[in-house]
Amino acid sequence: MTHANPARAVLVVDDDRDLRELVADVVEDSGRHVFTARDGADALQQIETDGIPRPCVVLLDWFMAPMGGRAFLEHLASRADAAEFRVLLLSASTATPPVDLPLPVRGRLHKPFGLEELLGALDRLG
Amino acid sequence: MTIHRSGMPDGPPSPGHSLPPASRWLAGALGVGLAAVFNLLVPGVAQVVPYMSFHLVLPVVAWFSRSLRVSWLAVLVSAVCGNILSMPPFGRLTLTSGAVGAALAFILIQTVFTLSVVLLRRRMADHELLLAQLRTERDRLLSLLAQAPIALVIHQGPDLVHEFVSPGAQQLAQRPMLGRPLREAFADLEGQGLLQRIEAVYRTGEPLIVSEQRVRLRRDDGREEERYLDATYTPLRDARGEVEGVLGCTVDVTARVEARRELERSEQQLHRLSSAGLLGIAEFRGDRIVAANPRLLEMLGYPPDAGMPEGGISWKAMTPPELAETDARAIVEAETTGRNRTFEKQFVRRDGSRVWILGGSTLIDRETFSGVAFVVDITAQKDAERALQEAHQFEQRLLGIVSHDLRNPLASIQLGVDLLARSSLSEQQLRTVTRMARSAERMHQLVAGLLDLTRLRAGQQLPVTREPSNMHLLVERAVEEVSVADPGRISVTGHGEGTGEWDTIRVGQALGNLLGNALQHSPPRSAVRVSVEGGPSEVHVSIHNGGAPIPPEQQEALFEPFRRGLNPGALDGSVGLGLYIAWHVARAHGGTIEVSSSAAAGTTFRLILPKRAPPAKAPGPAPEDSTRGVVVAAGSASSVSGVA
Repeated sequence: MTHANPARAVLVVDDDRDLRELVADVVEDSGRHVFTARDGADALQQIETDGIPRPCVVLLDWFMAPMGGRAFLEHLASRADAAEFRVLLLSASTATPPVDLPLPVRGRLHKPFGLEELLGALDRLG
Repeated sequence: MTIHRSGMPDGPPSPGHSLPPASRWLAGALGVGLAAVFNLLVPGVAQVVPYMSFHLVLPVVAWFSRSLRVSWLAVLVSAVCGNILSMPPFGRLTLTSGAVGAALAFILIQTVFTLSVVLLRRRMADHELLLAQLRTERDRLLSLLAQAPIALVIHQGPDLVHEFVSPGAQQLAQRPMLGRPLREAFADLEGQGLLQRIEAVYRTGEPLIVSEQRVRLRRDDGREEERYLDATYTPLRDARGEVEGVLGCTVDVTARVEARRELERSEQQLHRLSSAGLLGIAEFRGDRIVAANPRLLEMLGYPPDAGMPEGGISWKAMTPPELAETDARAIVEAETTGRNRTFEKQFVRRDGSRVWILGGSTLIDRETFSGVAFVVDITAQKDAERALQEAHQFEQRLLGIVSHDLRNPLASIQLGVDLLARSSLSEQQLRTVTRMARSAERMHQLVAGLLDLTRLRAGQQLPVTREPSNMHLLVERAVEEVSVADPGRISVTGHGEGTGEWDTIRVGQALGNLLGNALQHSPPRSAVRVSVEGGPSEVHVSIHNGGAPIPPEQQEALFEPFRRGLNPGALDGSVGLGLYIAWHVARAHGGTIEVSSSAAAGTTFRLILPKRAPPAKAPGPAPEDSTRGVVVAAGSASSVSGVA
């Protein structure tokens, strides 16, 4: 399998540990550089301190505790380098997508999603 | 009535019987003038008897003028005129011939005579006036008696013969009475006690007063009529004080007695109602309850037997603040219409607990805002309603959480299975992984169905995002998908233009559910025929299977949730939401699903979808007849919203 930019960084933010780790495995297998966070606050802290390379794709779960997807996006939007992050929502609902987002999202994957679906979405983000 | 008596000289003239003052004076002047002219014209006769003509005229003047003053003056003027006219140059008599004596005699005679005539005339006029007044009084009395609702009779003699019967009495008794004795005229009152008591009035001279005396009168047509009478019977006495008759004065009070009895009856009913303990009854004035039955006191948290607290109870103070606005509206309604239709409200009892009541009220006096209210305690019903609502909300929340939270582990399973399938596996391992993948997919469908159900039960419609598409392609794709598990059974025919605008994912879901249903409810390996017909404004997709027919009584319930059709043991992994969701997909597109089923023709589900969104606002038409899907949709409740 070939990928456009194998060195791209991906941050997986999900409070479901099994899913988070499985997604990380798949993404890592595809040759990308993976970081994981268990909620929005954890993700923000890693972005702040751990030197996650930019640009970075964020696979973001919406309902998380303590900091959920919306709060994370609000904090991210206030950063000067917000444009370096491309956000892909992982949503467990088929309901209407959230509106008035503080930061535009690049796409949405409905849980449960398959392997090809996930990799296809990542490829489209480049 | 005042009787004018003209006792004073020249008092006010009695109307119609005397002359105005100017006419009196004119009469006096005319009379005296006439006599003087006669004396001048007929000197021979007049001078021999100087005052003759004046003697004749003065009584006439007095009669007509009826005035002492005029008469006096006429006498004096006549005396002077008589003398002057009898002496030279007019006459031949001289003073020496005893004229002074004659003049004095004339004055004396005429004074007495004329005055007598005036007084007589006045007396006669008074008498006439009195008679006329008496006649007027009598006429008035008679018309009063004729119009009065009072029945008046005068009985005369020991047999109490009817001597006078007023029209009111005639109307009440409705029989000939005048000239007939009491017992003869009222034979039907025999034995009712009243006749003896009237006779006793004549015998003893003691008056009799009866109140609401019940009598039964027999009418001409033979029927008996019950009447209630208030009456007085007074003895009439002659000049010596002996009783000679009886005056009876009767009022028919039947209507009053009946009205009072009706009132007493309704009061009794009200009392029974009030003490039965079902209904709370309040009498209110302004914002206070001034009287309440024990049941109401109990509802409001007061001891029911202790009576009303001093100063009443303020219903306003017992109303929870959040209902103050509702109350204000009810007050306006009462002030405008005089009553309140049924309303529900809450009161805070003294101990802080709340009671729900259903009531209505009627204003009796708008000025003081007084009236009566009737209330029933509906706290138990309200509690039950709330419990039901809470249960429904809980169900909604549970469904939402369950279906939502299942997706995370499901996503892990699906991703894990995919990952495994990519590694090198033995044939058996691959079969196992494939089964796991299929199970995960089925579970995914179940969770999606539950989420849809949650949304529909919360009263929402399925969201639809239309995009240009072709029904022939959509059906082909759906058939392909369901055929993976059960290949070779479905055949598709199509004609007509299939393009339109639909939510392709949702329509695919509906087609998948209908096709799955057809495969599942027909014998294994039997054919399922699908035909797609594109019309000018609609497309019809008919899905036919040759399975056992659906009994008509089950057809109506086909599209309700949790239906598993005729095959409850079928291992389809579904919970019976497929047709329910398919129908709602059709409905969200403004379309519907029709079913026809018989042993001979098999079963056909026909999905009918308009090609484009209806021009009006979104929701499609509800099912119109029983051949169309009937859905018991959700009531109102909280909605589960949001995104994960």
